[in-house]
Amino acid sequence: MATTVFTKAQWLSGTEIMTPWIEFSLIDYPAGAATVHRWAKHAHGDVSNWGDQKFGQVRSFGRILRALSDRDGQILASNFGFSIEDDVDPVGGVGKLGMALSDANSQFWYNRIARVLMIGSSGRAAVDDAKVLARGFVTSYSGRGDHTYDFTCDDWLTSEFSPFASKVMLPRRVFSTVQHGSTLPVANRGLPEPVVFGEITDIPDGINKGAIPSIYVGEETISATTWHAFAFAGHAMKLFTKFYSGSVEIGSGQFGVDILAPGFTGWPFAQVYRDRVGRRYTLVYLRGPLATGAIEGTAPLTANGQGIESVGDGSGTLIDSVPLQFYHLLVNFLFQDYQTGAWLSNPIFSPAEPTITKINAASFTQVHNDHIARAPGGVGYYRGAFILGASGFTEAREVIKQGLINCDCNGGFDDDNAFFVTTDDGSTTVADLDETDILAGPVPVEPDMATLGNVIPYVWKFPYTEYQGASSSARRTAASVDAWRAERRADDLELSWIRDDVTALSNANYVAARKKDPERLSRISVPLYGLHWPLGSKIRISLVERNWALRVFRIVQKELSLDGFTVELMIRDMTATPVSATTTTVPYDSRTGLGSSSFTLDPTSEVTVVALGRPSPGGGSLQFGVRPNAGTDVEVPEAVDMEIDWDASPGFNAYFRVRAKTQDAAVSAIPKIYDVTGAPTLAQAGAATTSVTPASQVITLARPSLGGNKIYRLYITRGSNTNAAQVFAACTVKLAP
Amino acid sequence: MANAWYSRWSDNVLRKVTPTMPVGALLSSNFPLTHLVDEAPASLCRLSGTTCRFVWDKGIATKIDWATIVQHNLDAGLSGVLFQGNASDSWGAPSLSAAFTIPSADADGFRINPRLDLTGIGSRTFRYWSLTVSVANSSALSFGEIMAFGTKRVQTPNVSWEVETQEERAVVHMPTKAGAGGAYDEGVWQRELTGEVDCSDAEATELRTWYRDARGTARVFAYVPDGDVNDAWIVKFGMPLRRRWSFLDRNLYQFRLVEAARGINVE
Repeated sequence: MATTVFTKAQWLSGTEIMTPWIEFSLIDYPAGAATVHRWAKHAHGDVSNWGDQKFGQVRSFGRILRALSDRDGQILASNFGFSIEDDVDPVGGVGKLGMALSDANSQFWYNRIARVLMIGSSGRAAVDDAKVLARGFVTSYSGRGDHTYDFTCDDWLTSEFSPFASKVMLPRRVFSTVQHGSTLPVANRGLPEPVVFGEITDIPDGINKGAIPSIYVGEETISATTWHAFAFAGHAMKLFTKFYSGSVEIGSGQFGVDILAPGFTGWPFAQVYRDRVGRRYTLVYLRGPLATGAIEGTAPLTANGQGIESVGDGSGTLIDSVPLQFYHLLVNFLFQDYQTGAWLSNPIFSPAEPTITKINAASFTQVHNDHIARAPGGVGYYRGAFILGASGFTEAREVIKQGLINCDCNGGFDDDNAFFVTTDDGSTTVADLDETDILAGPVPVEPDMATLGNVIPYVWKFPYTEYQGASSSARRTAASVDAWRAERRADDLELSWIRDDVTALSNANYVAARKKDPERLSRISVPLYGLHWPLGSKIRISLVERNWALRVFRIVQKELSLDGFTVELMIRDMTATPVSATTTTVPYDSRTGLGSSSFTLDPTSEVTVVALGRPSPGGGSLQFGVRPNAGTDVEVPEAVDMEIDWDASPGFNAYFRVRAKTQDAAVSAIPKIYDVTGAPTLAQAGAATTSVTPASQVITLARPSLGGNKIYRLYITRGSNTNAAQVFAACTVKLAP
Repeated sequence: MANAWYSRWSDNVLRKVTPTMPVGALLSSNFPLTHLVDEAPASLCRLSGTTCRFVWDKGIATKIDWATIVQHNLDAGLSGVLFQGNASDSWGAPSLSAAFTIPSADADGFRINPRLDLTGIGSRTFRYWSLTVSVANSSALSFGEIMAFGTKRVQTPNVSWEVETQEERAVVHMPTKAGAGGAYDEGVWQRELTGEVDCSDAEATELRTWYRDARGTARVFAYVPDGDVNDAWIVKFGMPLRRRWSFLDRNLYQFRLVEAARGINVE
């Protein structure tokens, strides 16, 4: 049977009798007996197609709310509520719900499923299925003193990761002696078991030291020989390309002798994976000096390779499209807990509705196709490569946020209450509206200037080993700066799942295109047939009073009111402006003038101010490197500007203590101090260093003869272009005689 | 035209007495026999067939003066809708058998609740009572409530002239910016009757008893606005019972009756 549809013609005719109702499945504990309560505003007795008898106990339906994630990737809850008048026996004064609440077995209301359904008289005549308007889990209820109960139901994501559920940190699995035995080092027990997506490698960057870390998990006897096992992943990986011991490539002659690795000579097992007590791993075994160095940390074992593939045993196709990786992560590692064997299936909402899944799989494929349409270059789609758990645990909602940011898409809950994703450019137009459709609004909304962003700094290629730094850059939309007479730096776009230059560039450019104009939001109210327009889709509005002709908007929020049979939409104006979306590359930390991250030295006392990049996960420093052409001076990422009031500090000089290093002694690093009060000019150059560990030097800047206020910035260049080594610098500064 | 009939809430001898059903079968367990006697006309007892028999065992011989069938789907003029009483649970030739006259439905499909006056029958005190639909209805049977009252009470004095009745259909109207607009019908009616009774002190006592028996606005009872018209309402009091002492032994009582929800007619 077809699912019923609500149309404009029905509404205009006024003949449609709308009958929404609530279904609440109260499941007892421990027996599990289910009592299905069906409540409507007005009682009616249907045939079983539409759920039999509904009792007229709904005092109000509340609002059914769905919204897309916000600009920062935060998922907004999809929820609904309703108020029920208890069926009170006028003689006994006891209500059925009140009795259920006080009964030992039926008092468990939390996390029970509630649905809202509706059908009209046209649908009944056609024997259609009722439309399910919302599904959710009871996350709160409260009884008022007048035998009325107020329920709130949330989407399953909020329900599973709500304050009632423990905070889920990912990866879920941790290294344990259950799987690895007593030789698992104490320090490694409880560490997250990594999940590796995509191709993680530093070979194309010319570094070739291994981008995938390993964790020592203890000893194993193989053919009467004791080997030391190192885990690269808590699942099967597709393949490895190279292995390294302390950044030195392990030669082919050592495989089968001192190293056993899947896919390499001497691997003694039929499968590329190892199953240990119900869990699947990718392990590599070492012995001799290789093992000693890796265990002691003097020569860590790293690798380059490919992670999760489509089957679960290493034989399938590498999953390297970011949205498909996101989907795979959600199914196997966030909403479920993969252990071993084949990958898990999309979870269903409940056994009562086995065809309704919790995740809209097709939407992730659509986002993948949207990326293809963007023609990013490279492999032709958004290529992702990341390791979940390499840098510790991440809270589940943060993982979802990262997925949305890296896919450059919005997330939310569709009309089946399944989690779905959607892009701006991939959304389709579903309806044209005019004055005959709009009950209220549009509420005029001025552009929100806080949402303007015409400099988009972005970072990708996040390092998982100490041998590689992240890359960074920024996109600047000059036309936006000119049009709005303001240069606004957006928050850093952290593309932690991306290790591909063209993918990062495409992502940043689409963010730039979206933020080049401030956001315009509006609200309209339409009749019930608006509920069929999917969240994230586009509508076109023609209004004479606004001089709008098929003006395009995207639906970012839907609120259905069953008390008034209206749908309130929050819509975002998608109409193109004359502001060109063309961007240019600017340094990651490009600023004009004194920004909020600069500071002023106080010469009345000797002040030391730190200005340097964030520490790397390994505990070192100077994380953000650059690779300028020799002779080209570039700003050091993350370094802040330093303002000196020379007139307030007579007789003082400025001493910049600079720590610089290079990735390769063949390419020297040369730090410099620039005066950026006006156009950037070199104030003082430092000495070239070929040290691969941070080496200190002092760059002295004498007080200028004319004094005044000056702003200084740390720059760096390379001594040669011999190879692809990056250079790093950090700096402190003080005034002293 | 005749004086109104009314029942006290406590007059309904079938309240909470679940019948047996020797003829007929339920459409599903969600439309149980208890819905016939739960004082909620909108909750239905739906059957799978077009004929039926319900039997109530009162345990002791019980007098019934009149009865009504509420929120049904019986065809207009359907014969064989019989209310019967007998000393034993045997219905071949019951001692009492009287036929309901089923009125025509309203234009919107809602049925009129027929009332059956048994006071013209001398012996009407039996242990077993039964409602049977022995002639096939055009559709599977559905009932909201079966009520039967031990005493036929005629409102004396009757409600005064200038009684007001009101009918309202719940509709959500939605005008648009263009001035056009549609609406959604919620499919329910609500009827009200507001009136006054001019009565003596003695007559006022019964009025007050009637009100208190219904626990004010809490409980339902039956009301036939015109005793000559085959149309019974199931109502509650809709406001406090207001009394105005107009003179010695003269009282003006205002009251409002609000029809209990009949639910939506989904046929």
